[in-house]
Amino acid sequence: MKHIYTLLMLLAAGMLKAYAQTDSLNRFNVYKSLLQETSTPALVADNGKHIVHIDTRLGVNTTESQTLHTDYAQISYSTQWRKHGFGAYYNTSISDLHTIKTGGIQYGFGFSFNKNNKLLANTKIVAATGISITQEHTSYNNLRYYDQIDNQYGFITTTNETPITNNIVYPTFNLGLLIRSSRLFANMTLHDLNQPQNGMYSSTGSQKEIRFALNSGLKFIDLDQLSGWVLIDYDYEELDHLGIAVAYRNLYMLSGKLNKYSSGTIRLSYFKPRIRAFLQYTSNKNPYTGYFEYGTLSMGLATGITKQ
Amino acid sequence: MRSLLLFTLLIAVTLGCKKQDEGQQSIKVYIPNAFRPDDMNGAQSLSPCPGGDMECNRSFKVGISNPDSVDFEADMAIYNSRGLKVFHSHSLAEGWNGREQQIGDYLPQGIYRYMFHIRQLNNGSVRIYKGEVLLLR
Repeated sequence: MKHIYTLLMLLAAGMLKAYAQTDSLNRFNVYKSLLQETSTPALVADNGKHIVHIDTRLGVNTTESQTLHTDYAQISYSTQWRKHGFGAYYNTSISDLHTIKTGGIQYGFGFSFNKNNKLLANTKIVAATGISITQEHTSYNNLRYYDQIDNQYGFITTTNETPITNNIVYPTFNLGLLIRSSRLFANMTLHDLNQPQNGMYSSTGSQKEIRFALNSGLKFIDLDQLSGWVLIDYDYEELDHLGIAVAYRNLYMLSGKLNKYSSGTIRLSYFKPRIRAFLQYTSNKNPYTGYFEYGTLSMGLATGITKQ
Repeated sequence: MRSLLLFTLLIAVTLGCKKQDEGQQSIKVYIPNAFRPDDMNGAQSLSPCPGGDMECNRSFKVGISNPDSVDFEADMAIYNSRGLKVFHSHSLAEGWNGREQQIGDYLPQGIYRYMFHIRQLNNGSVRIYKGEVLLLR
């Protein structure tokens, strides 16, 4: 996994060097650095031409020194032709117990209009769809269940669990809708519309539910050098978030979000016409110790590879 | 001066031995890395477990050697793949049933992270256990 991560970073660095003079990312806007790094199909029709995006996520612990490990990586490509956008991506999440690999394609159609008021100036609306194929694999030889425990001697017995498979492949369908202007953005995605079955124990035991995710923001400070945003997120897995973001000179942005579990996310973004990058840290406050701990470090990089 | 150093060394060695003796009364913790909660359609997943317990693999919980021999406090937290907490308990006996704690929704099959704090009341020592657990359906 470490090799994949290194390879992706070298690839990105090579692209930056080879195409340092390109102008392909000049359509990047501040709001894009606030969207989640994955599962936003509508971005393909608002990203510009020939964009490569790399994301990775690392587990990290703040309470004790611990070796970082990569548990997620994604590489994606998208390009835009007039009102149409096309994208493809591949991501993988690997552990000793369970591996998930997903490859998918996306299409989006967008149109722009300009209203003579602050809220809807430079508005763009994109509708998008995506289809992906996911493979899940379980390493049963590495699993230990509670029924194997002897309280004196530990895991000494074999489990009575009998799964029907250790490998399953299924398709998923997604829909996306993006509305953005110079003052607001709202990106909505419906995941797993076909509700595929992915059970390892029975064909009907585990069904992926339709998930709705929303990332939205409203600009409330709009000065020459400084802008401020109020952020509202909702995700099935992550509960709801409330946050705030401050951008300086359209170069740097610092954003923070908090949910009702005292799980907090802080993200530092950097964006220039030819590059967009972020570094994000998510942590949780443990009421037992009072400390924020068990964090997850995420990072992403987007760059263009040809001239407009 | 030499006497003072020897006396200090003697005290340090004595305290160290005492601490080691207290540590020997610690409990052993055995943590599974997989469990199989109820199916998402509501069907119960029964497994014949030792001692006639038909539900032992339905929640994520730990095995403790001689739990009655040492008094301890525990704290248990579960995080999803994005690092956000989905479950928290001050008891190890309760276990995690594979649902999001506040809303009660079934959580999807996949890898979750756990962190346990176990504090022994006899010597105040706190041990932290962390790792991955696979939720399977």
